[in-house]
Amino acid sequence: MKAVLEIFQNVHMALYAIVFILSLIKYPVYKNTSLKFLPLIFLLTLVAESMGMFINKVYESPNSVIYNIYYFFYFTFFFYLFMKVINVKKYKNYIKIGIVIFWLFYLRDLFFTDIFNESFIESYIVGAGLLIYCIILYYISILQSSKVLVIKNDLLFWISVGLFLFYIGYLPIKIIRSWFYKENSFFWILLIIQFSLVIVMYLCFLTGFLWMKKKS
Amino acid sequence: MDEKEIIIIAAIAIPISLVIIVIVLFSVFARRKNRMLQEQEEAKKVFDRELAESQIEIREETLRNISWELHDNIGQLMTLAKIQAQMAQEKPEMMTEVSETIGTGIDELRALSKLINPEALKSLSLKEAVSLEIERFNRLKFIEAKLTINGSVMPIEANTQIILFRILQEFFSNTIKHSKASTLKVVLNYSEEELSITAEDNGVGFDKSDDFLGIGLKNMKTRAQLINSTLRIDSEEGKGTALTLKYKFV
Repeated sequence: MKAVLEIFQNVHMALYAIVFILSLIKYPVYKNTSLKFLPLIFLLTLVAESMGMFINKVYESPNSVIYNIYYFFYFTFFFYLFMKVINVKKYKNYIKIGIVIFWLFYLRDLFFTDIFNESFIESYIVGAGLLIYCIILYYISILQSSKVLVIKNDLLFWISVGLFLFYIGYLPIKIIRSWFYKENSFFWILLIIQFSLVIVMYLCFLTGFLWMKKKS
Repeated sequence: MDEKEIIIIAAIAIPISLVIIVIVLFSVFARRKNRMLQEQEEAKKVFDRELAESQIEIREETLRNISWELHDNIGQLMTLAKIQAQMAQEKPEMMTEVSETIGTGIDELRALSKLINPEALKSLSLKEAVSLEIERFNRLKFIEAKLTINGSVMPIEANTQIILFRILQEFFSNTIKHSKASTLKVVLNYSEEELSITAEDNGVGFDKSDDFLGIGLKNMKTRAQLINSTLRIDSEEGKGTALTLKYKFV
C-alpha cells in the first residue's frame, strides 16, 4: 500500500512542477489580468509540498506548521482572485464577508491551536467551504454574462473547475479525518481518493493552460 | 454506523457525486451557451431587419426630398425663366435675367444631383450626412437650422451610422411636419467614450401622455436600443421638443 501512496506522491510532485513551469511559459498571455500572481501560488504549493514531504521523511516530525501557513495565503489569494474577476457588486461584497470570516477562524486557530503540532482543521474547512461558495458565485456571474461563449478558453474557468472538484470531494474526507483518524484502518481508501482528487485538479489546471487564449 | 461504514459510504459517494457534478456543470454551461448563441442569432436578425428598414426609409425620404426640391425650387426657377423668356421677346435686354435664372436653376440641379448620388451618399459620415440635411433645411428655408460639432469626430461603424442618421432624420421630419417650429438646433458631442447627440426645436411640443409620434417614436427607441444607445425625447407643450441620444463607443 505504501508503495502505491509513494507513486501518487511522486506523481503529485511532478504535476506541481509541470503546472508551475507551464504557468511561467504561458505568463505573457495572462500577465495583464487578475491571474498575474498565479505562478507565485503554484510556486508556494511546490515549495510547501516539498518541504512538507522532506520534514516528514527526513525528520519524521509533524509538518503541520508549513501547511497551516501555506493555506492562509492559498485561500486568501483565491478569494481575492474571484472577488476581482466577478463583476457583480453584490457578489463581491459576499466574498469580502467570506474573507473576514475565514480570517477570524484563522485568528482563532492561531491563538487556540498549536501551530507546530496540530493542523488548523476548522479554519481549513471554513476556507475550503468558502472557496466552493466563491466558485459558485463565479459560475453564476459567468452564466449571466456573454463570457459563457468563450469559457472553454478561459484559464480561470479551468482553475475553478479543478478547485471546485477537489474541494467538493476533499471536504468530506477532511471532516471524516478530523472526527476520527487511526493508522492502519480503512483510511487508505480515502487517501487514494484524496490523491486522485489532487491529480484531477492539476489535470484541470493543465487543460486550462493548454487551451487558454488571450482575451481580445 | 461505525467508522468503516462511514469511510466506505464516503469512498463510494465522493466519486459518484463528483461525476454527477461534472455532468451537471458542463451541461448547464453548454445549454446556457447554446441559448446565448440562439439569442445572438435572433438579435442579429432583428438588427439586420431594422437596418434594411432604415435604409429603405432613408431612400424614401430622399426621393420625397427630391420631388419636393424639383417641384418647389428648380420647378419655380424654370417657371420664372419661362416667363422672363416670354417677356424678353418684347424686351430683348431681359435676356440677361433669363440667363441668370437658368444659371441658378442649373446650380441648384447640380447641387441636387451631387446630393443624391448613391456613391457619395454611401461614403458620407454621420457628421456629413447631418450637415447636408441641415444645409438643405436652410437652403429651402424650411426652418432655421444650426449644427454644432464638439470634440474630435470619432469613426463609427457604417451600419450603426445608418441607424443613428435614420433616428435623427425621423426627428427632423417630425419637427418640420408637425412642430411648427422656427428653429432647430443640433449638437454632436464627441468624447473618448461616447457620442452624445442633442436636437431641439422651439415648436408646439406635445404632452407626453398623448401618444404623439406613436409608432415613429417607438421605432426610434427600438433602433437606439439595437445599437446599445439610449434615447430620450423630452417635450413640453408650447415650448418645443428635444431629443437626447447617447451612443457608447465601447
